[in-house]
Amino acid sequence: MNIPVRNTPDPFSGLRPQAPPQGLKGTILKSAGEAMANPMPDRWTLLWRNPAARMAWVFTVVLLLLGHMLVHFHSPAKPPANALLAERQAPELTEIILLPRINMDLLPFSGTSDGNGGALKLQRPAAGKGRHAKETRS
Amino acid sequence: MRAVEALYDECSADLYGLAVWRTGCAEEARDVLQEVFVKIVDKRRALSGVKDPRGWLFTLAHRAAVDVVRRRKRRPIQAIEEIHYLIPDEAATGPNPDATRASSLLGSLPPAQRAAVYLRHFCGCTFREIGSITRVPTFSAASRYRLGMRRLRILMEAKP
Repeated sequence: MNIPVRNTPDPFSGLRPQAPPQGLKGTILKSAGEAMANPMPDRWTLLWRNPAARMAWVFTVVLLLLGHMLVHFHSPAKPPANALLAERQAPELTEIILLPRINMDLLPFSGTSDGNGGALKLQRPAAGKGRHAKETRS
Repeated sequence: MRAVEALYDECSADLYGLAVWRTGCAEEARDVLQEVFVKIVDKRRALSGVKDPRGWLFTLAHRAAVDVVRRRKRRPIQAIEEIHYLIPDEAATGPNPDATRASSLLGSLPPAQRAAVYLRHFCGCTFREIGSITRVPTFSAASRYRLGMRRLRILMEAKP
């Protein structure tokens, strides 16, 4: 967008900006030549040299660490295993977990933790309760 | 290097002028010009993607000048009267204006207004281009130019 300038006398008529000094060209071309002789850095080097990118990287790492600490120290205790939960809350679920086995002393590979690193002792519901009991009666 | 030399011959006067008008110091303007050409060499791979080379060069020079001014921890070495923003144009006809007084008056303008006046008046940039170069909205660029010119006219009409 250009706003037309009013038709007023030019305050800079008969004047011009000063040109660069004579010796400056040689100095600048020498500096440019030295810069040209240096190998061009790759993108990763340019990224590493960029202060904004470095600050962003540091900020991200610090944010991730803080988030990790927050989650680690403020999260609730590890929930008990599903099998233990089922035994406490619904005996029918325990029955489902306890599949019919030939040898009841053998435990499954998974779902046997009590939440504290110990082995979970599952007990078959008493006879007469649950689906298996009904099936055996029939 | 021939390309750099050709570029210097083509653009150095405009870039140096912008640097002088923005920094208000000839010594710092030399540093700015040197920094610009080193950056051009450093970014030579990206030059093919530059759509507006003239605007890009002005942007580089303006940014370098602003950085120099920010880094400056003391007042400029040269006094305002010693900086020659303008010199008499030998090719121009008519009355010989007082370049020293004009330079002195220009020195009293804020650097941002001075840069807008320079880019508009001596480089023929549009206000949109000035806004793009100086990273301000177009209206701000136009305001800076108008305020600068108005103030300059008032100062010029006043008694020396």
